[in-house]
Amino acid sequence: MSSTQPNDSPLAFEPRKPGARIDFSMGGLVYCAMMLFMGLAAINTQANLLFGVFGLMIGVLLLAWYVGRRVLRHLEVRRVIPPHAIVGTGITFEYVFTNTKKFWPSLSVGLLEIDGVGGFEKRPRCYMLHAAAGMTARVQSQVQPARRGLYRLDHFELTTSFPFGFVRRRRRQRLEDSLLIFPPIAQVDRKLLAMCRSADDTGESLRPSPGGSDEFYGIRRYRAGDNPRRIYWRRSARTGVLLTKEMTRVAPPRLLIVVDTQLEHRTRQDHALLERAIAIAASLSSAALEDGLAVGVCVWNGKPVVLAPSRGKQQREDILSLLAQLPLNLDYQRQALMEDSRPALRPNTTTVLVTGSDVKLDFLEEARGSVMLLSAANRDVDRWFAFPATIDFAKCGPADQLPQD
Amino acid sequence: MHDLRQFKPALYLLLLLGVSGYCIAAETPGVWVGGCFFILLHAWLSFRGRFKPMTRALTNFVTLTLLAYVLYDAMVAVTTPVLVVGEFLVFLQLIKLWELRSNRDYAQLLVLGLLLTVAAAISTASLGFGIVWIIYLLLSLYCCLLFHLKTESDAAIEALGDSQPKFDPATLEQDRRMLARSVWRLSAAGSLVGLALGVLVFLIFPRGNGSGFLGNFQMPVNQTLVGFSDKVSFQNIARLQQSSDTVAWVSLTHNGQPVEQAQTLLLRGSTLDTYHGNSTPDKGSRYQWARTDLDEGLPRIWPPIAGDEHSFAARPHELRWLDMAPRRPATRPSLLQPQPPPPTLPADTWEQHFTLKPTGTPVLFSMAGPLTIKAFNRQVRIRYLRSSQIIQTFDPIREPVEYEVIATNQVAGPNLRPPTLAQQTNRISLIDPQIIAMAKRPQVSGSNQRGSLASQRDPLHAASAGAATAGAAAGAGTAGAATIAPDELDEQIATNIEQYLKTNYAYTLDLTDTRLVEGRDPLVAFLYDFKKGHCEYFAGAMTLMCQSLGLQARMVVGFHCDADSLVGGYYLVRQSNAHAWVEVLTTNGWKTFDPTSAIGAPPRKLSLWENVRNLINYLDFAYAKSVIAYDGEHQTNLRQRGSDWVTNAVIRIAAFIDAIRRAHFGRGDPRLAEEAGLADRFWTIAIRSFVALMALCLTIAVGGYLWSRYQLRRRAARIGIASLPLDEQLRLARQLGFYDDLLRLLARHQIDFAREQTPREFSRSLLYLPASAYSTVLRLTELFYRVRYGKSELTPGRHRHLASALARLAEELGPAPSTG
Repeated sequence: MSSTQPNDSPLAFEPRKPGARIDFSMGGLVYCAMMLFMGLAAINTQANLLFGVFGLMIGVLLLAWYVGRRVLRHLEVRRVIPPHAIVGTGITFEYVFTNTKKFWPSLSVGLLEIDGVGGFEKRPRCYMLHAAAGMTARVQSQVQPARRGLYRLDHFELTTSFPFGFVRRRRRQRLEDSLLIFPPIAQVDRKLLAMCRSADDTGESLRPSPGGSDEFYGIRRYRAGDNPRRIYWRRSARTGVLLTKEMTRVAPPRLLIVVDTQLEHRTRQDHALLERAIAIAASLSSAALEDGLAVGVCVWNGKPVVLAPSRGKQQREDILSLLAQLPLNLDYQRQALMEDSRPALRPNTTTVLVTGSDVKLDFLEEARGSVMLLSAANRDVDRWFAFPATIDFAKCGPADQLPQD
Repeated sequence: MHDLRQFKPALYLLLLLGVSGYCIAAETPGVWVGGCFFILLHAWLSFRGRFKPMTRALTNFVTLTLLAYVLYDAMVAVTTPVLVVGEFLVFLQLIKLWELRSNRDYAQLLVLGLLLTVAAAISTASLGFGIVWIIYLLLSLYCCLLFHLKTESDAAIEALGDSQPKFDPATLEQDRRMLARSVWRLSAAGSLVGLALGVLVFLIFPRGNGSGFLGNFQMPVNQTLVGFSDKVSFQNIARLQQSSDTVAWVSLTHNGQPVEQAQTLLLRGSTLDTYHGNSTPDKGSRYQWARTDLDEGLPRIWPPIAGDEHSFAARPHELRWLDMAPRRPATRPSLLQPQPPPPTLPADTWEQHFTLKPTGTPVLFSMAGPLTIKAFNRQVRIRYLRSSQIIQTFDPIREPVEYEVIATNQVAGPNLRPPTLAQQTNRISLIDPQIIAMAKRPQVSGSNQRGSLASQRDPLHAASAGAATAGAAAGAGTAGAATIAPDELDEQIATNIEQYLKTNYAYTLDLTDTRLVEGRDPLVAFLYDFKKGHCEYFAGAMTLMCQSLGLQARMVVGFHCDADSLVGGYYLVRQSNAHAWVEVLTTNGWKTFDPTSAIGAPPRKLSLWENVRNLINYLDFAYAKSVIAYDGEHQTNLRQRGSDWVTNAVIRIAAFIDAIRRAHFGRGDPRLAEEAGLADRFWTIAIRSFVALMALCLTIAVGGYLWSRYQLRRRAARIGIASLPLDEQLRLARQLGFYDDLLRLLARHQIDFAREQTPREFSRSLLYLPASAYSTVLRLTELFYRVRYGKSELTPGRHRHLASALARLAEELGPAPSTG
């Protein structure tokens, strides 16, 4: 008989060592005791029906052992997960259970992820009630990403106490997947985005340049690879040379976000500020890209990395992936990073320095107005970024970058 | 989240079965009605959504009240503790049902139900309960599986917390359609395994060892039998209701051969030789028949006779002689002293194997002249009375007894109690004068040339040297005293009285239309006023009339079984077979007389219902004998039969091999030459026939296989998958047979599949078909795509479903137009 204690729940357990694959539940032990009692009663009374019941109970126990074994065998599990997630935003894992057995159904199977679970608030798990013989069941599980970084989901454990809850069987399977969890992304105040366009007002940014698809710029010879639709047929016919039109390129405002990740002290507060800074950078880049800005990033990722400002979804993913996987930086300093960002600077580029430290711009930079400073330590910055209230930045860092206090 | 709606109906059914099983076992229809009512009411309220669980306080109050009631009932009612516990379990189940809140309550309900049926199983041997129990166990398996799914599912939801799982509609649809099937499939497999193990343990678990090592918890059962009684009284005149309850099953063999042709079987229970009429001062003991030496509470006419009783304990499977004279134990056993030879059975014997239900009396039944007894299922303390040849136990029978008696079917016991003249005078003085007067009438007791036989018979006919042939009182404590002995006229007188009663009186069980005058002896009223009655009146009247004329007569009560009682080789002894007849001591020994008239007796013809009831009774007996009474001896027999079967099989195989060997290798032996020649021809023909048959079967199998492959490849070509690899082609051809059938069906209606079209285009081009037909074609085409490209697999059941869909489509399309 099944117990309704939460500890006997198909999901309320922790994974065991690979060797421990079968264990008796309390209900199973009680059943065994009852079975022995029934045997003693049968021997004592010599009542034939009790002998029959005794045999029946043995049969039920054997059946529980065998069916539990069959339930987990030939059960193929596939995990369908999104390519990335965002801290604080729930995602759905879908588990596809395919029962390849020809006769036996699979019932009451719990699944528990074992590897790569550090990035989630709770260990991903799900419960499948029923997969008929030869059929497929799909179960979705809501998970809440809690830490940025790349997480490799590998082993998972299938468990069942079906049919009677006497014996819990486990089976470990391997299925490699990876999930990249981006830093938290907030809604960004439009005013901040307007400020990020400050360099857009310079004259150089207004000069048209060829290479886009905006307005007519000029004519040149057709080169292999050019868009055939742009061939200027009338002029080509007149000249006898294949000519193509060149269009002007829109020159959007450029934004270069310099993310200062240097940690002077590995306190909980500093970690929280750093993660907040990274989240600010991610939010800003995401919002700016959505607003049509070309966004680039300069960050220390074991070595200085500069992603030149660009636009598009791919750029967004590249930036967020880079921010998601930032390592712990204890040495590389802000000034060096600013120097590293200079090659990517152009006249219409607004530079935003995002840092977790409470820093001030030097007089020259402030006078030029070419660098914006967003310090996570500055509470004024909070009004531009609306993060979900549930996010605890002290716990947002990767599992291998925990505070030391 | 999950669709487990099957659980509750199954649970209600399980509860109903459990309560019904218990009530069958405990024979408590009131509890059954009440239990079923509350369960059904709860189900109705629950499905209507109006059920509200009882409060805890009310639950506790009701529980305590019912506990008090059950304890009171246990004290005042006479029943077994197990049944009392079972009754309480029924109440607990109902209480638990009405306070259902959580899964824990469901679990308790299931456990209580199982305990209830176990309690019932201990207390009954009823076949009806056995059947109900098996169904109950199968259903409980199903319920337990569903319940486990329910608890696991609920616990999973609890464990998942906020992140409740979501299911895609296909999975939910799969649950809805196939969950019950899967659980039934598992239940069936579990039942098979459980039953197989149950039967195995039932059959092979060693019996007898360890019996009673935990003590016997059973209290004595006070069961009384309604029909048969070893006491006969005429104090109340009323309508007797015949009961068809079964008392015993008797297997009868004559000289070791089973009795195949039904014959009348008289099973003697007890003998009654003294009638207490209205001369007894104690009104409570008036008009009763009694045994003069045994009955307590009634005045004794003479003291018990020494040596009449032989008492012993019959251990299981031990053959004991009944009429073993008591021996003085030797002071010291001596090996030199010759032991008396063991008694031998006479040539003509009847073996009766009884399975006797509890009767509440100490009487063990048997045919006349019992010689030996053997108890089977337990030890029985026996006392055998030589004078009356009746077998009794020391205590009333409370549990079924299985015993075997070997008898001669002759009432030939020694007359250990020939009355003295004084005793005979005393006995006659107790008889009502009107009965004596009736007995002396010539038309009653008969007459000859010398007058009435009664006048020629001296009531105080003294014993003489040659007269007491039927049994001298040798060593019976009456030596030296003049005793009454049988007369040569006794048999004739008894026959006349028997005939008189048979022809002048009518049989009835209903005496409610008669009126008995206060103080008038019922037997006198029977003879003079009613002139009708049942067997006890007839037997009592004849016994008294015989005794009044000086004959030694006694009434015998027992069972009278006729041909209708023989079912499946067993005599089915029912309460309605209870009977009373008379035994009279003649010069040729004790003779049996049955004076009961057949006049007015209802014609004995078995109705259909009685036949069915007989069959049920027989099945009940077979169940009780084969299942309930299965013991170590049955186990040994079963093992022996299995061993014999294997041995015989081995011997037969060896003989078969030997015959072949002799046929083929024994030609050099002249003794075997002729036999070998015949066998050789036979075996040559047999082997050739066998080889030819095998070759034919092989050819048919290979041909069938090739033909099916050819058909599949043709089908593959028709449905356009011939370009696939052969294995895939054949697999899909098997799966897509329905689409081929669809194309052929359409082709018969001159709708041809154009090769330049895809199946989907083709199906969509059939807009001119009737709407339902068009829809069917579309659906089948979609299924075609799912199988062809989506790797779906069709089960045999799905194939059948598709075949029926095609049949419906053919009906919709109507008959195919003639090609001419």
